[in-house]
Amino acid sequence: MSKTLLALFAGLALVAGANPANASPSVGQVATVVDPVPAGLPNFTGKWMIARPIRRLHTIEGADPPLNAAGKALYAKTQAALRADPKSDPVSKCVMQGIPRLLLAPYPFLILQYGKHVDFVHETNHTFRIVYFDQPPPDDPDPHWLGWPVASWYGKTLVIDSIGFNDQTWLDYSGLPHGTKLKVQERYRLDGQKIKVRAVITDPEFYTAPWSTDFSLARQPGGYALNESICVRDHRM
Amino acid sequence: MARIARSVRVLVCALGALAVSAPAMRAAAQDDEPAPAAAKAPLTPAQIEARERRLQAQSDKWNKVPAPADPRDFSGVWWTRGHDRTYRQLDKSLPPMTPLEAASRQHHLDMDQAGTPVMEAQTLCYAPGVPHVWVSPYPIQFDYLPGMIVVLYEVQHSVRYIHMDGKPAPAHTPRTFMGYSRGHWEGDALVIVTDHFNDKTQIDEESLTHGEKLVVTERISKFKNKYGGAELRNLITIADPDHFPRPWTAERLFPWRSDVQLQEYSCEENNPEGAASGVSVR
Repeated sequence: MSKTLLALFAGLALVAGANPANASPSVGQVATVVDPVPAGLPNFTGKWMIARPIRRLHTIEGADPPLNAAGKALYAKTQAALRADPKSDPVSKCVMQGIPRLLLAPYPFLILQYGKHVDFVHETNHTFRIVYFDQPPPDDPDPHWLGWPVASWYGKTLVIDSIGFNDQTWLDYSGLPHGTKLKVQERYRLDGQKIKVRAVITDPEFYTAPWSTDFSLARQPGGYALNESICVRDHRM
Repeated sequence: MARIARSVRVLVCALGALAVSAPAMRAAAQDDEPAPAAAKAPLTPAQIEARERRLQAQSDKWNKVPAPADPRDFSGVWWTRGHDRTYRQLDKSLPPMTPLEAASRQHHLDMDQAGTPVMEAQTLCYAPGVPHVWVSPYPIQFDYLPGMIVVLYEVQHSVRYIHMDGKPAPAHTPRTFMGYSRGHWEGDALVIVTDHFNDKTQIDEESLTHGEKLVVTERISKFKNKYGGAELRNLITIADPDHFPRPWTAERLFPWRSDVQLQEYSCEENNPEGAASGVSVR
């Protein structure tokens, strides 16, 4: 087959891909779809970004998160440090943002959904998270910046449950704390050109009760590529 | 397994600032690795048979869930065997070098020898660049999309976007660590041409360098190895007239690993050199 024809096919595939409804993940370059999204399930594949900036998370009732005494103390300390020096934000050291904060970052990201896994590829510091369906984390996971996630379906809602976080990240940009006992449940619901996300936060070390917060992701135009965004350290390079 | 892998990774990053050979330790963490082909006494027939049995069992485990049958579908996880820090030509020889590159290489070797290795992008927790990113002993994953192939590399959570739309790089495409990649198919070989590199990365972990004129052409094809397992061959052609008088080609192999998932990789947390400015290069 000539290169021109191949290029034409590639071009057609791109056109097909422009319609999200047709955006099955394995189109264009191969004849078969090996690991397709099962029929009847929504397909979240696409480029997304937080619909409006969120600095500080609130509960779905619009209240402050139910910090306990230890949580209030740590939050106050963190905020004072942040006021004194913006670089006290752990992200200023180029480490990963943690969950759910990574989803709040004002950078686009890809959701690449397949039958067995769903991958989150973020522009900010080229951070990615690969989430398999129905493969729970080990019993005693080493703490990770983005936790140990597992995906499942609840009807048409994509559910991601994570444990095994370290205690070095914040839940949001304001410095809302968490510890290593943190559990996060993300629930993704497709709603036209948006994804409605509910995050359920459980952390008995710093909160009096589990609490939920809502935010929306907006579909972004312009294909699937993201810019290269490298967190730069100020030395010798 | 997870614990071992992670602690090795911590070492990799911690030692990375001191000695570039540290990633070799990650290779040691790959379970079921074949013994390195040592130039010792030749193996006895019984030893060869035992080795082949072991490699067959290993391959069967890796291919428990088979790779996609479509020769153009690389979706899934692949992982190089062992760890080779250097790129060499197909006949294992050093590529011909310009005087600039020969001097640069000698400087790298001298600094290594002196215990003060040249700090390069990956050691400093930046993106490793191409073709450097294939050298690292960490698994990789291909994700297919309409008009796009995304390659995820566990090492330094590196990402490449292979544009399959047949278009040239857009005007004003910036120079980046990972460059701008365009792909097309020649038969069942995925041919990727990557340029628009900055000059902050190295060709390999040991000594070979490049400038902004670097153009990397990769030909990736899937084949069945002698154990019946799936494997990717990447023929990597490196062209940079300032560093090499003619383009030259190296090879890397990546067996299919249905038993492996990419894990979180954090270089930044272990690198005290990483005093961040928080600035993003866009």
